[in-house]
Amino acid sequence: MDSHTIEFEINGKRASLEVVSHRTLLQVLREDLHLSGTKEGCGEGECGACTVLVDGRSVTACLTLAVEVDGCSVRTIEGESEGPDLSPLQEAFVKNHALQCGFCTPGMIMSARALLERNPSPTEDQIKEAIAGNLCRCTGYRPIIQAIREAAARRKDQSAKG
Amino acid sequence: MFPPFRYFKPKRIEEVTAFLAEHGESARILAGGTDLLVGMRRGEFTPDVLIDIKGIPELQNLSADNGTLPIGAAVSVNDLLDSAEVAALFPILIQTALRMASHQIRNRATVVGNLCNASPAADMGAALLALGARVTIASPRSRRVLPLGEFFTGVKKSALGRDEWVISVEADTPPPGSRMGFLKQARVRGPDLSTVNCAAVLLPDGALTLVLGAVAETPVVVTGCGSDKGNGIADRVREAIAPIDDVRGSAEYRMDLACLMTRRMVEKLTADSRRG
Ligand SMILES: Cc1cc2nc3c(=O)[nH]c(=O)nc-3n(C[C@H](O)[C@H](O)[C@H](O)COP(=O)(O)OP(=O)(O)OC[C@H]3O[C@@H](n4cnc5c(N)ncnc54)[C@H](O)[C@@H]3O)c2cc1C
Ligand code: FES
Ligand code: FES
Repeated sequence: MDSHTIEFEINGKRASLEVVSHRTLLQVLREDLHLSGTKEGCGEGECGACTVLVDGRSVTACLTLAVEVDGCSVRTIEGESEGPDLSPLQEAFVKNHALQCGFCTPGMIMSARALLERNPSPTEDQIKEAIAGNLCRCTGYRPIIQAIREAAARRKDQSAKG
Repeated sequence: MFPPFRYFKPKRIEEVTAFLAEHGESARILAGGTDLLVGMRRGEFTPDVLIDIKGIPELQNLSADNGTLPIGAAVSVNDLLDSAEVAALFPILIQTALRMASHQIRNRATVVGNLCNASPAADMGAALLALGARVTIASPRSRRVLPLGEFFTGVKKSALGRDEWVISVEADTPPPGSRMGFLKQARVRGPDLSTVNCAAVLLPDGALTLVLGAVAETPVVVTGCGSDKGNGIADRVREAIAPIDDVRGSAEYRMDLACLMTRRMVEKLTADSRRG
């Protein structure tokens, strides 16, 4: 079977891995690297549960081949908090009850993180646009949007304090 | 999940052409994969070889030169949205890009992939047709340039031969004072394919190019609009399109939508030009 050795960065750590061509990034993250925070909902790009960052840009891992991330930096929900503390986004999700079953949450947080990195002060419409590709079936979007607004404000405070 | 295939990531245009010539129908080009991988997952295609074109620097080309904008085959829809030049010269492409899919899909989906997939509902297909764009096609023999109007030949069918592929699509900057727009009607406000889409360019001399998508086997250029922007145009639309029933809407609904969206488009473009 056609396989390739890929070198990439996963949540800040360098990794070298042998992957067969027809496996998706989602499969390799969950099954080979045991990073099962990233979820599979639809497998067809519609639900966003598998959203991860590749070189800082959000993509659906179900429609990305693992071989394609050779030379890239990949970030998943497991890399969201640094150390034992939750990230501002994670904290804001908890505080605002922005999750119930939690299945959509890793993807939501990755989309939100990509948004805040390209636009630290998003408007409500920009937040809605940024998570339009992430479906939530139980919480409803209002608390999620509120959590992202709060996290944006907190990140700004933190960077102002330096 | 996918049946096994071999994966190549060439660095040069000529290598892609050579791989295609060697493997023919059993090879497929992988751009963003947002149509291809979905189709493979559903068993619609079972290629033996995928040729990833994202490692070829020339295919990232997106800078206007002498009034022409080339969009290389590896340029994503979000690359287009990030370009100040595109925003200044081709607002229609920005309007279209903003209505396509979701942010994470647009990071991968290419403009040229949208054309090559040749869906009747392809949003960029409609917008680029309205701009009178052309595709540059590579093959082992030579390169050829084809007007986009001759590129779409049927549902998911294009004029590409088995050893041909698209390097870029080019659009000329419309003359100053031109108006352009894109409208899309889908089942929901969020990401969804078009039930009907409508793209148009109105030149300063009054000539109108109107395109309707998802209403026939290919996006349709409604001919004979000339500068007639009155009631006659709805008759032209009815003659030009042949919508079908599907999950996104009935033929009858699409017919009505197409006429309504045409009227709104004409109103929008003529109001813009009155405002100057
Ligand atoms: C969730 C979701 C939402 C979507 N929403 C929209 C939408 O709103 N509007 C819309 O129009 N589309 C939509 N799409 C469809 C798709 O994202 C677009 O058509 C996209 O532009 C395809 O580009 P790609 O780079 O992903 O193509 P790929 O999937 O890589 O390729 C598509 C096809 O074209 C061929 N191909 C690609 N590049 C070339 C080339 N240079 N030369 C020859 N052949 C080539 C491939 O072999 C394949 O057959 C959506 C898809 C998903 C999954
Ligand atoms: S699992 Fe990838 S988008 Fe649904
Ligand atoms: S919290 Fe259950 S799907 Fe969003």
